Amino acid sequence: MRHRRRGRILGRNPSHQRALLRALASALFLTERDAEGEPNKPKVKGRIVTTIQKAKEVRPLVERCITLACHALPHQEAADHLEPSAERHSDQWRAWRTSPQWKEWCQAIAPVVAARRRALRLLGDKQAVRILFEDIAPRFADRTGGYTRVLRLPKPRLGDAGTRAVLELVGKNDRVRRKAARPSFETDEPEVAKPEAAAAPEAASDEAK
Amino acid sequence: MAVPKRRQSNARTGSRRAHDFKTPKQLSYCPQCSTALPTHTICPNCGHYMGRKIIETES
Repeated sequence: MRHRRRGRILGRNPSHQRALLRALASALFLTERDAEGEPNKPKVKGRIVTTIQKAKEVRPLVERCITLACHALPHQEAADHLEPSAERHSDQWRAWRTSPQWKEWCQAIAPVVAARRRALRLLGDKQAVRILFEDIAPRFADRTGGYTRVLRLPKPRLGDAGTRAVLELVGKNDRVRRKAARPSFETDEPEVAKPEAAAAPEAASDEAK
Repeated sequence: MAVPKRRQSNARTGSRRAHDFKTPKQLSYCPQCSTALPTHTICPNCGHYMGRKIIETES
């Protein structure tokens, strides 16, 4: 029996499932890369199109990666303060490298390195990890989860009629909360105005949907 | 080997198949451009969903 077994199998064996989810998550992060001049560059940054099942299945992995990167942000900032302004491999930098300040910096940066290695274990793509920690995490620093959205597309996939969906990072295309303006009436009678005003925002919110 | 004893009447076949039908797809209409579309999907015509543009279209 299949009782209480969570998740989708997606027609793959476990290692194949893992590879698929890693590839999808990395692909989502890699859409944020600098792809100028590439022949097959992503059309929209921070968005991939897959099937709805795959999108829903990969979402926890994506969210876990971003949370991991967000938790590393304060450590990264602390380490940046301890870093010298001198150029790498210059004499000043070499002096810092042998000083006790360097050890301090090492202590400060250690959690970030650990987090990056954990992310690399999850994603298996160095470029994706770099983009995740440098570009994506700072965007979501003050957000506690819910970094992605899944939207259904109207047209099914041509080959197998799979339901296509958009998986994207939030922050762009967010819903704008529109408030219905209270209609103004020439005759401002409270008995007449009240039921109409109550009915009007409902009608307006229906339109917004 | 087990074999059917009697021929099944057309009525029996028909009544078994009475429940084999497809229901039409639930459709709603885009509030922006009034295109018919499946519920909870991005509009194929104007690319709107829940009051904002998701997919950039030429028009």
